[in-house]
Amino acid sequence: MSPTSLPLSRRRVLAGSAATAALASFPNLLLAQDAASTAKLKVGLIGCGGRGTGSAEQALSADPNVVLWAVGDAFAEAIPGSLNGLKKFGGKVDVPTERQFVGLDAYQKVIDSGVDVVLLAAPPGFRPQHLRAAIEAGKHVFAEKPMAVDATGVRSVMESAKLAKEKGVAIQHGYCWRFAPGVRELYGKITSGELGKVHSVYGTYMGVAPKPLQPGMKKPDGMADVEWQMRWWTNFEWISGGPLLEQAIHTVDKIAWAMGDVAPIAAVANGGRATRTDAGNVYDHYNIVFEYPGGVMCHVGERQFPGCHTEVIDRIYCEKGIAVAPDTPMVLGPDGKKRTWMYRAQPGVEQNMYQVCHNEFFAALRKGEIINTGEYMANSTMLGILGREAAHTGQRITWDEMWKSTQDQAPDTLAMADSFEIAPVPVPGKHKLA
Amino acid sequence: MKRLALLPLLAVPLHAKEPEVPSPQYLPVTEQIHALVTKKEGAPATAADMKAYTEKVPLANDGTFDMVAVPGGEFTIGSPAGEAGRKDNEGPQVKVALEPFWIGKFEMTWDIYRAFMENGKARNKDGTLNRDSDLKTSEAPEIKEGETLVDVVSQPTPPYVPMHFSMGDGYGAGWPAIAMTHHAASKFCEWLTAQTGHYYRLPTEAEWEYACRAGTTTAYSFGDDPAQLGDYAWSMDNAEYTYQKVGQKKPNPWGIHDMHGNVSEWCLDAYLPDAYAKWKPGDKGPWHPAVNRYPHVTRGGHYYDGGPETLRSAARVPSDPSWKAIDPQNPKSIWYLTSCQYIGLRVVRPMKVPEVKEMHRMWNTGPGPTE
Repeated sequence: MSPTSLPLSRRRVLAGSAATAALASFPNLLLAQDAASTAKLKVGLIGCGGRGTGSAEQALSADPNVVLWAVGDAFAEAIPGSLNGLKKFGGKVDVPTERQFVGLDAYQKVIDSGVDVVLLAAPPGFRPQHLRAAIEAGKHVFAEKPMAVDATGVRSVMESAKLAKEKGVAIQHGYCWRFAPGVRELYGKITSGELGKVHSVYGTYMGVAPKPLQPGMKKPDGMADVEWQMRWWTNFEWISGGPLLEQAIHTVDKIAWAMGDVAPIAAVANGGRATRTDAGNVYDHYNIVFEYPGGVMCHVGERQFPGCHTEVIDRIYCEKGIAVAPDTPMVLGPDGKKRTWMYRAQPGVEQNMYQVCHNEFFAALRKGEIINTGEYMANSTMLGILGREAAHTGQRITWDEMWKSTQDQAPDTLAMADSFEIAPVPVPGKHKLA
Repeated sequence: MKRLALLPLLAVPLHAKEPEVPSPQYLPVTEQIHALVTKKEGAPATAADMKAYTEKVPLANDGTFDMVAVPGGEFTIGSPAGEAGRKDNEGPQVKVALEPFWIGKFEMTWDIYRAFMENGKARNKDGTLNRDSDLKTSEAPEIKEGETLVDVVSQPTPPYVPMHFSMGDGYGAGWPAIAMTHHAASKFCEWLTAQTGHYYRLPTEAEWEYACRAGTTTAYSFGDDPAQLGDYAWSMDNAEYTYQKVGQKKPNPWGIHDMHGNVSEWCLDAYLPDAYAKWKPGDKGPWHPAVNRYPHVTRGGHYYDGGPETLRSAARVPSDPSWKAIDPQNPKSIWYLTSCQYIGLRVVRPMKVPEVKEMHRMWNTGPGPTE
């Protein structure tokens, strides 16, 4: 692999001329500027796994005049299962075989199939490339988290977010907790200042690995590296970003949220592979401190250890109380004992944060409002990468240094049958940030 | 309707294409486990020999759970028309007969259930072992090199978030296991059986109520007065919106804890609003096998919501697909109730080991591993 010799679309910094050209091709999907718009919105799904199909389900439930128009996945066998899972939508699913696309270029074919909205749910290593292509084509986008797995990818996402603004197309994100009613209410108390200054944050994501490659498992005979690694994508950093990006990014994003989405200063971190002995190259634990302006330290504890204490808890220590989320959003007194507020859903009220996300996305489209969360999506992703790289290098890395990094974990031109050596597990003190 | 005593399926004329048992692909596993159970020594020959015992679970770090012996007998299932808070689905009352069995002294705890849930193997979504790198396809439950009979019992894929939802001490000792689907609860029983050689399954609805009432006919096993509930149960009134460690409240007359409150418990049966109308006085070991995944019966009430009437011995609640509403995947996991943090389970062990197909049916209710 020689990254320099390849035309890397997701890494291409948008040239001035390209931006102008993009503006000239005015989006063809501006909707009626009122809530009564009933124009049919054609949706394309990119990535037909469980979560992608789930997001299609939510999109189809969000609006009466939405139709699933095209689907694409790297693997052919993902598609029948996905469409089968959406059968209950009847005529809202209109995906004949000629609009079912397979392979690593399926995303482009979905985008080119005449859709208005695309759902990006392929593994995150592919996200910047898919986002760029969708925005360039003038499609509204729902993008699952995280947005990228390396600094080059995040910069590309930032470019796409700017381009989306210029073109007037929407980007909605999949940092789902920002749509959970109770969590929103709690974080509103923090960001509004109701709880006073934030002193510190300790957020955890301690569970088990969701799709672990087993020790001793090897690539089956006759299967190429790329295909095998994609089938076990959470075990390889170039596709998943590792467990901090792929899973605990929710906790990282909530730190950004609690801190008002301001830029951090730097991160210092530890991490490693304490329990994993498989052929993949992701760490299984991280402990990260993000240093924020005003002397505020935000700590993330992440691990995927079987048989150990598990928890997923945000604790935001504020001047006037301690906010605790996300399972039962509550505020404790500064002594950490007395509960002063607790969220409790009204019976029968819709609480599915995944659905709320799509409801708001489509409602905004109908009103002609263009949501563009691309920049903060990029920032939250970069915050995760900052923490991960501080652990991988063993160095204190500043936010500015992180943005200057040229880290790039894989070329966009990979083919399914390619050889692609597994990158070594980073060793702190030796591993360098590119 | 079907009754245990009449269940042997060979007696029922079957359409040629209809599978003889649900999930026939897993029948070979059941057959091997059945052989293990029938070979196991030391099973009591008569009800008089049945004693309370503690079961050790090797794959759960030798964790243990306690079983209480329940004598066979007759009892009247359901509540009388005049009972406060009664619903129509609790009648008509009918007297049924039960064979002796053991039942968990406590709700099953994370100490044991966690080892099943985090089983340390790469598994396809349906719980079969993954050997071909494709996590979406089912694989035959044959024991290959380096695998055991327990390994080939279908078991959960790992959860995306810890399933205790930050209650209690996480998966700490003594806290009830929750949020498993009926399918997961059934496969857990199979997993227990495959390693202990004792036949475990979910209680039938009749067994559950019989054990809950413990010889009583009042609304609760301690009488009719909801004011006493706090001594016997964790409910919305006293639990602070979280489940509690098992066994902290007073037991019922047969020494069984938390039948009222704490977490609701899965029963084996499909939920039918008029379940008892389909049984005749004197029916032995009646139950309603499920044709569909929903609804199944849950019993006992729980900490999360509902008034005292929801904790009565006769109260029945059907399961609902909304209990996994916020699973972000499609298809949703067949293992986890992501939106229901108050359903747990308790196991029973019938004294009499059933024949193999009945054993199989009791671990494989519903339409098979789909959702």
